Amino acid sequence: MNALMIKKLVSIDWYLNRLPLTIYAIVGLLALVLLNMPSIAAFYVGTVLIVSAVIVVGSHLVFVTLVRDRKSQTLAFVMSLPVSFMDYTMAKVITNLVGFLLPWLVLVLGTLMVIHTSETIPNGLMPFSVILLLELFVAHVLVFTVTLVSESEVWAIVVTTICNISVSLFCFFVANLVGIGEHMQATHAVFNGTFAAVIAIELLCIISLITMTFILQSRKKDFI
Amino acid sequence: MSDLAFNLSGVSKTYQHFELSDINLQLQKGSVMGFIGANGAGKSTTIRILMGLIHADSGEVNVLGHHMPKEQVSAKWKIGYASEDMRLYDKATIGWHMDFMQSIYADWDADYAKMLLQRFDLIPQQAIKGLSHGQRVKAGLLMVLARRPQLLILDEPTTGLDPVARHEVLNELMDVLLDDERSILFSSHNTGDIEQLCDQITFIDKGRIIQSQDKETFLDSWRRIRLDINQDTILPKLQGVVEQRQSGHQAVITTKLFDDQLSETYQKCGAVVRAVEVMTLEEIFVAEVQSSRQAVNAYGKTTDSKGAIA
Repeated sequence: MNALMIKKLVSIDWYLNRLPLTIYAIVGLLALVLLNMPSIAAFYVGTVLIVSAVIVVGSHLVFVTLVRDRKSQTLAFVMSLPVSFMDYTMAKVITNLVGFLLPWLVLVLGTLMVIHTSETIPNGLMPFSVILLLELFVAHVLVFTVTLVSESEVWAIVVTTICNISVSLFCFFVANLVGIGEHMQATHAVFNGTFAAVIAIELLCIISLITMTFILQSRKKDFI
Repeated sequence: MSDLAFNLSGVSKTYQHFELSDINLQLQKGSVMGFIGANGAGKSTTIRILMGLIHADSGEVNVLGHHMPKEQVSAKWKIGYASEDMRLYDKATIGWHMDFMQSIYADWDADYAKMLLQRFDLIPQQAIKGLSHGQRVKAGLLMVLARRPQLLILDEPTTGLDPVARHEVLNELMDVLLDDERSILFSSHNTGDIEQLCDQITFIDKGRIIQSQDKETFLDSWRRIRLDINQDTILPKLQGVVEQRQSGHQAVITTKLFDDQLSETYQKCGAVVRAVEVMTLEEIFVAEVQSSRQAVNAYGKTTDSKGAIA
């Protein structure tokens, strides 16, 4: 891999998206403040805000770093630089992983901290929250890997929509899962085998999607 | 060390509705090749194969001593590529792009870049978003030229430019040609641009190279001969004649293998040579394409550079 040029390509995306990413970070921080307020209303507003911020960051990253490269014809410029298509793929994977993980980690830590410190929210929600938040990450990886491989805006929109619709279905599924659902209202968090299994499946999905992306990209013969 | 800037050997690429077949093309270092073809002839596909952006189904591609696409990263350090459909980042300024390129390429010539800014009448603080098409093309060329690459690959860089912008771009490319070490592949369907800049000419049509020669040979060997004939005159079928039109007592012969003996041959047949006209590159291109297509239609095969059926 061509570390110098991968770094340069990542830096392009960061530079061009520094303003929206800063705005999302401010929204995320604002949401964290709301989550820490001793009010149920503030908690709900903060939760909606931070989840929305994370989802929007994911969609934003996919559309501006992947879809727009092709639509605005900057891909030809990028590929004229001393990079291979696999370097390009690596740069886009890094941008989309790091760009999403930063606000996502804030979301995870903030949510766990609020649940832990709040007297009204049961600690039993922690495993459920971690599973749900990791699902958002899996969904983002699915959207950006499909977009990267398919090179299609239509597919990006379709997969984004399906993933967003699936969030509530996934919540329902996990909340009714034996080993998770019955502990949600408990005063202490129960990190049992079911929790570990679901987390393992989610991580496996992430690793598989990224691995498949590199395999499929390496088999491509036409890049522009 | 090879004295070829690039070498395509037996390169083929098949798509559902288009086939690039058996491309053999070489460019000597220090030469400027004009790559002429109609829209959809295969110019961009060939160029993308050269750049490693498309993998050929078969054949060998070597650019500046590097096997493509495997060694494309090493090759691209020495190649300046600009295409008609290439865009810089809308949100960033020209100055940002210049800094970005300078941070990558050690050979970036900052003084030359500043000079190009002035010549192209560009402002570094200007965002790409606010530029006209001509300014965008010139900004793109600036990024390529200021790197001082060994090989310039320009895929229809003058398409869509107004006459003034085209003139500026061509003038700058003429200056680039002063560097004997630099090689250029310049694709266009504008034969006027090619005629000004290039010393090698290659015609491509329907995915096949139909002719590749140095410009002088091209211009010297093609002629349109106007003859006065009478009803009894039977014009011989000579090698190199790509078109023979007769109308009443006049005939017009288009040949790709002209020499003085040709006129004598027609005179011996009873024809009177009224004029021997030099053809423009555009006329030659059109005649060559028509002749190639007729040969394909008639025989299902292509003609070689001498006009013989292959």
